[in-house]
Amino acid sequence: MRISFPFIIFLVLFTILIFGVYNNPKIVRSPLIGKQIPSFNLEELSSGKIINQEFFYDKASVLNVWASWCLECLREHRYIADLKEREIINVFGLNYKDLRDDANGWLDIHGNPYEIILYDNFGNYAMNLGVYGVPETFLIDKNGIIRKKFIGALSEQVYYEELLPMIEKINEEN
Amino acid sequence: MKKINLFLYFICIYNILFSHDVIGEQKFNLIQEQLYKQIISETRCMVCQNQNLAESEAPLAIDLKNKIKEMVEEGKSEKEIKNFLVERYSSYILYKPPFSHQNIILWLGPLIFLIILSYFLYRNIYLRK
Repeated sequence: MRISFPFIIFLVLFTILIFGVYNNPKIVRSPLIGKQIPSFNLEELSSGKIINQEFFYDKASVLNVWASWCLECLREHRYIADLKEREIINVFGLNYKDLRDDANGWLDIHGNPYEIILYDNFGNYAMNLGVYGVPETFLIDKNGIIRKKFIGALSEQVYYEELLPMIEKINEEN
Repeated sequence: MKKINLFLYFICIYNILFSHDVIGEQKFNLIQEQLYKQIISETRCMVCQNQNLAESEAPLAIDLKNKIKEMVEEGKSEKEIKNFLVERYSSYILYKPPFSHQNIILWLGPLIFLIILSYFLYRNIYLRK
């Protein structure tokens, strides 16, 4: 007993702490998951047309928060473009704290992977979405409910093994 | 010497008047300023997580500080402002985590640990006799 008791304490602490080691503190679970997308009235980037949250209500969509100054956004650009080509889901962009000309220039150079881009000049709407690390990607179902949030650039692994299967699952729901 | 004293005296007076003007220019009253400072010192910068908002100069931290300032000016209470932040960034943004079912181990864990250890200490000291 005298030998095993410290060992038990060690084991208990070890198991608790080992979880902490594999837990990435940079990724904070969003409290908005399972909730309606916050309402908004934002201009479309190129046309200046005012758009509100009802845009998210007919079909499931992906909302990708990006900016022309954001290097990581370029890294995930091909996955967003690939997503648009597949035509399985609406692909929307939220341009975050950017200048119109810079954003449009970026799209001219790298290609526009979005159907519609919301222009969030001061990051006010992004604040309502709890954005803290651009790029971020939200998966929103056809009822406008946020189902998942990816923080940081989508990697090949995240894209093929997490995002695509999730989209398939959401599209099957009816 | 007297002239220098007089000169210093005017500098002091001028500074007092001037600083008074600066305070007068702010929309904040002292209570609001205290609330603002308290909130930004108790909330985490989500970008650089070991800094509070008060210390952080990250762009998001500046945006959040401005937002908090705005809300304080509107007369929102500490609870309302903290709720605003928690609704968006989760309770992780608070340095003092709330007492909820998710955090129960965090709050009660050390106490339980202390009780268990005291029991074994008691056993070892008294029951050994």
